[in-house]
Amino acid sequence: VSSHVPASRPPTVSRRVVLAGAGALTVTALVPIHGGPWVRALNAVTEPLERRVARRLVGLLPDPSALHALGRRALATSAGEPNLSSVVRAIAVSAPGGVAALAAAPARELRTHLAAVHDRELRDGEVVVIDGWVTATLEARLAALAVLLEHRDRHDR
Amino acid sequence: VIVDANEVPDGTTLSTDLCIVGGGPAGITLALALRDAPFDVLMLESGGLEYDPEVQDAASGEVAGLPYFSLATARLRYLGGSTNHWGGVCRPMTELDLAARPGVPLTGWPLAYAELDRFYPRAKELVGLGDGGWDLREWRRPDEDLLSDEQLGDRPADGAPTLRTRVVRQVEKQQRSFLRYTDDLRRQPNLTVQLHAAVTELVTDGDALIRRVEAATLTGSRFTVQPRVVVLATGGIDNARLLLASTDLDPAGLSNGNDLVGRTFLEHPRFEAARLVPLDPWRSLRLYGWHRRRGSSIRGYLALPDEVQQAEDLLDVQLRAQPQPAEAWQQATSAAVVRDADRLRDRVGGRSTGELHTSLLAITGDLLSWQRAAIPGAPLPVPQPVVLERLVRQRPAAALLPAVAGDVATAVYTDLTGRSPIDHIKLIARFDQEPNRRSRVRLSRERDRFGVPRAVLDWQLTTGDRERLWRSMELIGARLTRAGVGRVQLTFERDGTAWPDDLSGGWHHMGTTRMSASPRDGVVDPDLRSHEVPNLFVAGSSVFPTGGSGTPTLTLVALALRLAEQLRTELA
Repeated sequence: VSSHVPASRPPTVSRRVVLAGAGALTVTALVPIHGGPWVRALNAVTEPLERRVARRLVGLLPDPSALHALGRRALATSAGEPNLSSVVRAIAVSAPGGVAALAAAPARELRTHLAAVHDRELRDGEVVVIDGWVTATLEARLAALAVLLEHRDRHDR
Repeated sequence: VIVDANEVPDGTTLSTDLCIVGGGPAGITLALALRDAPFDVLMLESGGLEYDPEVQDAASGEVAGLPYFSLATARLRYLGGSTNHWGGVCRPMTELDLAARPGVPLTGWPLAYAELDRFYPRAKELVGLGDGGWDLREWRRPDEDLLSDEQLGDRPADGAPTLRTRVVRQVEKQQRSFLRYTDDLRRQPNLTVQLHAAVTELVTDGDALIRRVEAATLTGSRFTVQPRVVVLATGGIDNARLLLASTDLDPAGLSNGNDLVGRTFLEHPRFEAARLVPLDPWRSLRLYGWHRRRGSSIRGYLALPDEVQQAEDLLDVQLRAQPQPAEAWQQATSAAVVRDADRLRDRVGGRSTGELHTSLLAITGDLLSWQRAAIPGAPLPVPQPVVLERLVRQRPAAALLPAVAGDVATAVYTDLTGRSPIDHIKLIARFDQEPNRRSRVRLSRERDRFGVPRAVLDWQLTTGDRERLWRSMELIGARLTRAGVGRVQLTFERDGTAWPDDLSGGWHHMGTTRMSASPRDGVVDPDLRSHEVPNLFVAGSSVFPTGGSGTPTLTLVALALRLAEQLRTELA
């Protein structure tokens, strides 16, 4: 998701959505990783790596559907044509070991890592502006990922 | 003495050591500071001792660039100048304001900060500010602003600079006008003030010194002043206007060899740049509205720390937080009955002695302390103490106050406690624009009644201004989110050429005779002497190279005090 936002687009992301996003990315709000060990093991043999990581990341969000509006706008306003893999890889840039590390990290470490990235981005102003809302880049990427993953799952079904 | 130029016979020639053109805050400061100087001072003021529409008409002009206030009222032409409608808001410049910014051309004052700072204490006295400075720690109470102590610090615990709240102070209304120095001017032995003397031209007679100052009166008479030294102190628009209109040496105007007179007009642009949705709707924002503290009126503004501005190559942005109450509270506090009560309070003696307001406060005190079951004959509906106890102890229940206690009680509760449930907070940005040659004062073909071409104000901003403001707002939004204050939505466009409809200025006219070390970059040198005309000095905010984070009046008074020192040497 780039920082480019087209001019004069009417605001469509409600403040409820953005406030929900703020809570979703705090360390304490991140829920236990989605699914049990057996689900992860099953996914590991049937899904591409990026998709598994996407599922892990989105699974950390307490209510991914609450971020769909933000995610759709983030995708719509992005400069390129982001897909699930490219967004996962962008998130993984911050992790030593890249995508594989995100796939292998214990849930607690993953949550801590994401919370630290989120905090650092806000501190350093690494943000994107979506419908006017100032959003940490990670927050926008996770929201985009939630949308892409749902789209992918619907396609598979 | 103070005399009326209408009494000066047509064709008279007066001589003086120092001629001050303009009786506004810069001119008056200068005159007062030269009280015991061993030379004569003559001040020419176009107006009298009160507003006169006939005189004021000479201020009319055209607005050609960005929308701006009517020039007819953007400054005032009578003794005291624009301090006669001044809002009284004061804050000094900082060291960073005077520093050159590598990424922004024409920034940087050719003046060490200490050269300005040493005159601020006296300037503060002259503008009528009471004791105290601008350090937030002097003024704030810990429970009434958006950010905690740690968040407000330059270097909080994790080492990351965050936001700052800065204090701006306001001179009391009755102290603001420099007209209050009329008696001091009248009694000053070396000073003559000629009222109703509109200067029409500075004439060099072909050499590089001003030999004559030509003036006219409403009655049609004209007279000449022969000065040793001239100080032009007619404000940020008219200083440039008069130089451009003085063409006997150069058709481009006096001291305008490098086409800089009137250029780089600066304002402090402002508009609603964002809205903040607080996570806690009951946050007190009292610090961010005008309020009295230890005998002074103060207000807090949000701003980025200096080190962030430097690291990101930004100019100053300060944000006024304007809370928008939840609907029921908004209706209550703006109800007709509240306005009537306010008017009545003012009529019976105002906030300090008004019986009504005292009564309202007493009643609300009762409401808050729930010590009385009923107030016989009270003008307000007063609910039962048990209900009030719930109201003040539980914020969700307190939201019902308008319904339970009525509009006036709600308004007084808000006034007394500084709290009401907030729907969102408008963030009004005021920013320091970059010096830009296309932003300028030039001359109209139309002339005023004295024959001086009227001013055309072509105020312009740049894409750089927009980009820097956008980046500043991104940083501020991120920091407010990180601090857990709330989420920020920017309400202006990053791209495009149009500026928001609510764009305005602060009646701050700066930059049109900018100060510079080199004649290539400005009109006057660091001593405020014209680079081209050795006996011409310029006072006022027109010499500011940049607008900075301060407010102009305090700094232009400080600079006038500094100029007085220079002139003592010059004319001794």
